[in-house]
Parts: sequence; structure tokens; C-alpha cells
Amino acid sequence: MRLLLPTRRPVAGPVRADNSLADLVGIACHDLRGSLAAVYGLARTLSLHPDIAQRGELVRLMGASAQQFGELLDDLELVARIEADWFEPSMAEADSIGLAQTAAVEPSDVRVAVSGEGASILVPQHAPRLLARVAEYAALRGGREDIKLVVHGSLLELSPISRATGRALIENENLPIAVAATVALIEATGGSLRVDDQRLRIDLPTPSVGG
Amino acid sequence: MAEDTRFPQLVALACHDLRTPLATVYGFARTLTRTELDEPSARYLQMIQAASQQLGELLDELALVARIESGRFEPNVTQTDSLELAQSAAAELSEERLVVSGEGAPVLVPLEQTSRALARLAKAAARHGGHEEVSLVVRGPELELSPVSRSAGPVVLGEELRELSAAAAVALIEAIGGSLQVDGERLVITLPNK
Repeated sequence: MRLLLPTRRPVAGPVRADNSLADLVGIACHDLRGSLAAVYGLARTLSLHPDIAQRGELVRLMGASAQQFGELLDDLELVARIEADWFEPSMAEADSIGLAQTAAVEPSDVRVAVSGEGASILVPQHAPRLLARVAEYAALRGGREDIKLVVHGSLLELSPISRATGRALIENENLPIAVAATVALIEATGGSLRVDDQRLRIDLPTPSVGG
Repeated sequence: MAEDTRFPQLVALACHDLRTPLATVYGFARTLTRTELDEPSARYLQMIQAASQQLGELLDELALVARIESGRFEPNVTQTDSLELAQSAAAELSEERLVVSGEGAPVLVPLEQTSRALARLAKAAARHGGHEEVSLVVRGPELELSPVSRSAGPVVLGEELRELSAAAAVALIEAIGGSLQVDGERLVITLPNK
């Protein structure tokens, strides 16, 4: 059984409060991560004990849930950092078709069919996972189990997107935290999103623009 | 969604999303503890349960602040005696001790949330002041927490964000019409009585 460690990021020291919820969320993520690390470490230790072997599936699911919790915390912290202007993106150069293909094989409840031609783009950490969450949200909210992701250089097109889903994405309305984090991240790194004729068009920054 | 409420609402939704995997961890740990297990597995599971509970409490506090920030906080206030409230807060603490004395008076507060807030402030005063024990003297609607060291003062006033619990406690007390101020080595907490 393999349990991956949840992401842990360096945490800033004490923060002067300016009544900013974003500051508080940063502290909350730190506090929550402390307890989560205990849960995770103990679940991992438990999985190695012989008397647990027969009940290994429960422990594996506990570990998977703890990992999901960690990812949600990462997303919440990311939005808080962007909101509080603390965000310093660590961007790496990548190929857009490679990003799309990696996103398509992320664990998901939907199938993502990738096609098109890539180009050099700049991507931040966690980009494939976040793109996968957007694709999953767009498909499931539109009542579908699959979705197309067509790559045109630095432009990624997800389709079909229902009118309600498009509106929610553009107006940032009641989005799951991973999707809200993706929208915020794309905008904070110089990219953009727009909905056009049942397609969500995601323009990603390129080395010449973003670099 | 209006810009000033967008982020608090997002935080509230995030708290909701975070509860789902947490419920899985807690539920499975609970199920496993009902089966026969050798040591140290049983002890580890108890620790997982305790950590999960703590995570749930932290999420409650974060969700509370998000509701307050977005103007959607509607406290369910009840008239209670301030001394009983302080005693209830003392009972919530485990590692740190809170010694309660004084004379109570009727106050109008959300009971559980205020009791927890007082406990969290006492814990922050003890932890950041390096004390194992702090005292809470009740004078009607005013509660005096001491000693509050120079380093603990900004934390229990919510001016320096070091822990979520203390900041959430301050947000709650202010949202229900109470106030907090540091006077020397005391934190004076005034609870609403109307």
C-alpha cells in the first residue's frame, strides 16, 4: 500500500492582521495542515501493521481522503495568497499538449479526450491537477461523463460547456474550491478565460509574454 | 457575486468541501476502533480520531469567520449567566487550566460558540504567555482573563494572526456586540447583555 505525503508548504511567520479574511485563511491552512499531517502519518504507520492488513482497504481510503483534504487545502491557500497579493508563482516552461495529456490521466470521474497541437507555455505548480478539476466540473455540471480538450498552441478549448456552467465559471459563482483556484491562478499568471459558443477558452501565458 | 462577499463565500464553500474527506477519515477510524486491534494500532486510531475532531473544530471556526465576514452570521443568542459560561469554557480546556472565580450576571450570547471562544482565548493567553494556568475573573458581563503577557496581547486581541482559534474568538465576540481590550496584564472581555 502506498500513501503519498500531502503537500506541505513553508508557512510565513506571524501576520499582522488587517481584518483580511485572506490572511486568516493562510493561518487556518497552516493549523489545518498540522492536524492533517498527524492523520496522514498515523494512517501510513497503521497500514504497515499486520493486524490492520485485513482491513487495509479502510486505511487506504483514509489515506486517500487525507490526501484529498491536503489538495483542497492547497487550493484554498492558493486563492487566499492571490487574494492577499502574497502570490509569487513558480512558473515552469511546458508544452500545452503535454499539460492537456497529463490532465487527462489525472484521477477523475470523467473522460477527457485530448487533441490538437501544442506550443510552449508557462505553467505553475499543480497545473495538470487543476485543469483536470475544471474539465471534471464542466463535464459533470453539464450532465456528461466525457469532455473534449482541444489544444491550439497556448489556447485550450474545453467543450461542450453548458450555458449555466459557462456563466458560473466566468462570474466565479459557487465554484468548487479547485475550480475557483484554477480561475484565480490563470488570471493571476497572465492568462484568461472566456466562454464562446459552448466552449471554454483558456489562454495560457507563453514564455515571450509571461517570461 | 459581489466582490466583497465572493471570497468569504468561497471560504465557506471550501469548508464544506473539506468536510467530505474529513468525514471519511473520521468515519473509517471510528469503524476500525470498534474492531479488535492490537497495540499500537488501537492507539494510533484513537489519535487519528482526535486529530480528525480537531480538524472539524478548525473548519467550524474558519466557516464562522467566513459567515461573519460575508454578513451572513445570524447568532442564535440565549440569555445565560456569565459565570456559568466561564465555567463551561474552563471545562472545554484539556492541557491548559482555566481557574474561574467572581460573580455572574445575565448576558445574551450564542452559548456554545461563546464558551468555545472564551476557552480559545484562555488557551492562546496560556500558550503565548508560557503559562500552564490562567484565570478568568467574572464581574457581571465583564470577564477578565489574566495573565496576558506582552507577546500574548496582540494574539488575543486578534491584531496578530498566529492561530485561527484566537482570531475566530475575537471575530465572534465583536460580531455579537461584545468587545475586548487589554489593560495591563489583563484581557477584559465585555459580553452583550441586551
